[in-house]
Amino acid sequence: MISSTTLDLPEHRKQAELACEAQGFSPLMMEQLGADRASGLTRSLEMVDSCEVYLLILGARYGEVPDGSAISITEAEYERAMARDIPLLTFVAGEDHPFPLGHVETGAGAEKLARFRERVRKTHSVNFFTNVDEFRDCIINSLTQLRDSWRVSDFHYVVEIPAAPAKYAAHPYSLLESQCVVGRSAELEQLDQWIRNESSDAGVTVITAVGGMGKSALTWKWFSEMPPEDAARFAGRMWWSFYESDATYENFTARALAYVMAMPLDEALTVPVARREQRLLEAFRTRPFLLCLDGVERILVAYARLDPQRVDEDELENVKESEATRLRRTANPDVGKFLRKLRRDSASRVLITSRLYPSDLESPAGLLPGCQDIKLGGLTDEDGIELWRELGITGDDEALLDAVRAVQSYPLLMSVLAGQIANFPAAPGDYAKWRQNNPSFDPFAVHLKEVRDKVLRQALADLPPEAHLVLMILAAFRMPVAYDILQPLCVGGAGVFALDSELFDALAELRGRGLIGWDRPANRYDLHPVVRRIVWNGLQEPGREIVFEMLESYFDASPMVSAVGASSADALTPVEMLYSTRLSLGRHAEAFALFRDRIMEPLVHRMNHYRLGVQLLEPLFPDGIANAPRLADPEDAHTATWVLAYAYDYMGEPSRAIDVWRRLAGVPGLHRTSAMFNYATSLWTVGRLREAEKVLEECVQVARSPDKRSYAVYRAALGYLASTRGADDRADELLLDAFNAFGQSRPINQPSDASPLLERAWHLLKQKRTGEADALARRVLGTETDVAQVHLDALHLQGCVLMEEGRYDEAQKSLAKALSIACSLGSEVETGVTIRLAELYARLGWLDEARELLEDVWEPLERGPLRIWHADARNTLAEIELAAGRKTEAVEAAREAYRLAWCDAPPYAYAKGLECAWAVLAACNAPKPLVIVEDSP
Amino acid sequence: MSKPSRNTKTGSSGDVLRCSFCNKSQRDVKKLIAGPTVYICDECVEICVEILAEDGIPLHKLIETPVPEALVEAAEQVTPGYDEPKRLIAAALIQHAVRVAENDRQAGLAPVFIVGGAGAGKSLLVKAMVMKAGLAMAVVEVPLLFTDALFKPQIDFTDFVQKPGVIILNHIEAVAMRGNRAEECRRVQQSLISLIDGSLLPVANEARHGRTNFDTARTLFIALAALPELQHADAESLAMQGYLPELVSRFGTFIALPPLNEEHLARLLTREGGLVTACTERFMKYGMRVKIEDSAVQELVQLGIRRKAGVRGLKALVDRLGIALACEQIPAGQELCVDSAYVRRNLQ
Repeated sequence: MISSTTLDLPEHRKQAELACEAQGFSPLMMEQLGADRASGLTRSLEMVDSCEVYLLILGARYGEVPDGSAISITEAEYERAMARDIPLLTFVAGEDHPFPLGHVETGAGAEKLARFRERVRKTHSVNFFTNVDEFRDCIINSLTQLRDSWRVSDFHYVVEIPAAPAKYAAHPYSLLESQCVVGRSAELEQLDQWIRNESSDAGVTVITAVGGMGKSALTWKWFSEMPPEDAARFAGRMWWSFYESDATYENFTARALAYVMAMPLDEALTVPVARREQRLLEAFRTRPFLLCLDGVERILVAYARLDPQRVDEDELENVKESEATRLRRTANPDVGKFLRKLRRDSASRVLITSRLYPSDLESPAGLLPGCQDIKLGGLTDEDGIELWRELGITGDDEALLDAVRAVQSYPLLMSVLAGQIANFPAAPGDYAKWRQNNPSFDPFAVHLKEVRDKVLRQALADLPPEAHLVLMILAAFRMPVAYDILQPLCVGGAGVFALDSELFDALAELRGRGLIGWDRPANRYDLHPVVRRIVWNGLQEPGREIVFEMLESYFDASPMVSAVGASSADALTPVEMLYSTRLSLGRHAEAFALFRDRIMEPLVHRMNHYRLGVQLLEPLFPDGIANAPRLADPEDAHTATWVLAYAYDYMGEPSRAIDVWRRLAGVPGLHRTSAMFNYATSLWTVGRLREAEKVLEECVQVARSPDKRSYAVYRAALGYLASTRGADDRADELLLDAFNAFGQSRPINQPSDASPLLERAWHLLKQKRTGEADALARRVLGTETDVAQVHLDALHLQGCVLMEEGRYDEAQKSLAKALSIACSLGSEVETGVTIRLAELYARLGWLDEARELLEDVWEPLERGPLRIWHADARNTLAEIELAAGRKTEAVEAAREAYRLAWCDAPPYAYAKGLECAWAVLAACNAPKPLVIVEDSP
Repeated sequence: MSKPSRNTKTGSSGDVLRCSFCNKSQRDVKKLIAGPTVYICDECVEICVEILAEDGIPLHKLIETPVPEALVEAAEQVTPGYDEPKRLIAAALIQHAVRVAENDRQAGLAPVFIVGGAGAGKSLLVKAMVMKAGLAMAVVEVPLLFTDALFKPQIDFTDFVQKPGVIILNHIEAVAMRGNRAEECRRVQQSLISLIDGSLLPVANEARHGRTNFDTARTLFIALAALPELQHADAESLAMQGYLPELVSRFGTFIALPPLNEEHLARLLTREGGLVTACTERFMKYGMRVKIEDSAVQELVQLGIRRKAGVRGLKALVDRLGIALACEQIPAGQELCVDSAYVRRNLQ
């Protein structure tokens, strides 16, 4: 609470208020009481009772003494604060502090004030000041000392989840202060019409534009200022920003579920992600929600990296179309799948802002049905002039229009330029005079990006060094930065400032110039991504190194969650920040030590965040993943490479794993055969059967001793490959041999341990020997093991056996259970099981449901590519289409299946795939397709 | 059709080596040591060490007794000045090392309390000397103890089982009982007393090494406090600062680091490998030639004195200068000269 008289200290109170807010306090002031003076004392004392810190400022007046009281309201407040024994900061004006004569109290009041000053001086360590500036420094420094500088700062701004239909802004838009939203009436109207038109089939609207055009600001304005009658259309409204550090998809699903289903967040967190998706989709389908997803480009392949803030938009424009499509795809296929489903048959509306249109929401023919794209351009002339005026720039309309056009109606540039013009000392805010005084300012470049770079560079050149420095520190982060993090980084011992007030000034300067945004409630600062990039590019390598060293020493001394304690990916953010900082400093070995000791176990092995693991590991391979990582220790290099390959495989992208496994397979040592085996498996998965067999034969050669467990595993794999390509006699022999070598009971420590049993069972199933296959599946299911993947494989097998036996109900149960495990493991087997379920639905005659299931698998099958499964999926589709009487579609699917199953051409083709495809083609009287040799991988 | 399962961990079971004593696989232990035909894991080695200890067979050879001059020299590399404090710290470390190594049952030396300004170089100094003395070392960030994270998170005490060790209690000023956290501070101070008196701490990985503990009573504690206002340190003055008398009375040595003078700051900047050299070398690494003139060094020193900058503060000033330089466009082949005016323009 800020307690003082008001008449003599208006500016002091304003400074105190600002200082409190900048340090994360919410000041209570008597100005907030309004005109209700009758009960002024009572309400003032109530304020003291509710505050945590009491600030007393004594100036030239004793202040109002209520009737019946001997002391003033201010002194009464002070006494109450003393009685409460709360932290108390006192600031007293010195004798030589100038005050206007009329503000200085005389007579009895002056005597009482002198007594009060003396009392305060004797009781406390008083801060004296002789002018407003001194007062300001005193208060900032006192508040800083009061704050617990060791408080653990959260990177994530966590907002309580309200009960729907109240709107839920998980991450309020923190750049709003630097982004006046003026005009845009056409776009706002378009959005209004979109939600008002209930018959509109556009479930998803995507707003795309280059950075700085005002997508987020526009959307935030529309979302937060929605008229009640429009808000009433929805069962709830949620805003989620992917620019935030905790904005992982997993976290989104948990928070969205908690909001939509009105359940505690802790409970939502216990629901597996796949199940969360299902429940969310069901809720969005049946009840009308509005979901705003801001900054979706951050989860697209182009930006899904450790340093998304460094992505150069211009470079993205210069890539080939096929590459551009890949870059615009969601990095996590589950997200793309979720978005695609949201657009269909949904009562809800989804608004997305993104620099790039997600290719998951389009097909070669164009946007997917149910999607619309609003491309946001510059402001209209009228809006531009209005924005100038809003930003405090003066001049006649013609001059201002000239200025609007000079920056091509680009809102971000206008606000940055306005910051410069407003700070023009000769004529603050006068564009014409500023322009006259800045003849070198010539933004009339042809290309918008050139204009942007010019304006921003000029804005940076004009900055005082201290402000520039803070800007560079902010630019080193990839997310908004809390004051609690910024303060120890910038002030004191290792900081660049001696005093808090210097940091305070620098931040105020930057805010005033429109270069940073301040999220007041969370007390965080952020840069617009475009500004961030320009600032960072303006700093040469040695300077970046210094900034990273500052960050490193800060994070290194910060408390971090242990590997055992980490229960979610966002709990690892500080470790990841330290990791990426060390990488930026080129200290790969230290970075990897952090990954190995703190991140690997929880993130990759426990939480199955393979994709994030890959994002973290790939920068260790600056020469490409086919080459060795930048790690001198061979053991570290080996582990990093192994985990990378393993993560590629498990995130369903074996084609990327192949090069890595191949290199590991060439490294002599203990793990060589294991790597060879995994290399073969990845080759098998992408359909390179000839090479896979060759490598497996080499594995068997290396594991010569027949009693070794690996011998059994490798023989089984070789046998299974023979079965795949239809060499059944060889498969019989090898699989039986492996089965015998495996023996009666072996511990199952990892998925491959059960392969001599499971792979024989798959072969038996292919030969319709379902009883024997079922017995083997049961045996594996009965084995005590904590390797969930083994249960998943066994359930998958069992489901297929039961389906073959026509026991569809039981088959469905097994497959559903397998699917649930696969989803929770984040395993690529999810795709395989889904295909099997689709096959089951087709057999049951549920053709639409089967087709819908297959919709989910095409993208991961192509992304992998998972060629053998892809052939299965196309064959299943062919059978579905045949059963539906759609012969043309059936033939098309069967031909595609045939092409996929061709692999390396017989005898290295996927025999069953060819057989099934041929059966459909024959049933449709279609000829066998010609397979072009180049089609083979 | 399914697909073959893979090996998920580095080394499939077939390739896995096992300890010949306990049969644990190499995946389940921290280290597996190979002999000609057998293997032994780190856990079995520990058990063997314990058995030998019970039979009175020395567990570890005495560490080579360090020479005080060597320790002082190591400290000099980090921070100039502080001659007397450096000698006192060196003496304490050596006494502690000898005392513990000579007698396996004897407690460590009484703790040392060092006070100085923030960024005075306390921590750097002590760490350099402990490392030179070849002792085990762990740094406990005292403020973190507020969160009940006592020794669980990130400190590896493995070395303490094998040799005499030092635990540095960094930022102990944070638990001086003042203001509204007095009660919490008292609680942390009391837990520090138990630690100094002797607690059994498990080594880093509880799951794997649960049975291995070490007794902190045989450890030398060095507390570091940023209390710039304290010119002289003793139990009484520290009690006045908000430390429990029963805590400070356990300390046997008190050392106050005086502020660094002009000469020390200038040495920090200009000596071989000093801050100025490091700065110019950093630029040179990227092909940029920067020359920091004597007048600039003098300006930095004066700025450091005015700002009461210790080691860390001076480094911050040089860093700030470096960032300013990194924003300049230095033409290829040319050298940018930094003079006092440049320093004033960018740092004041």
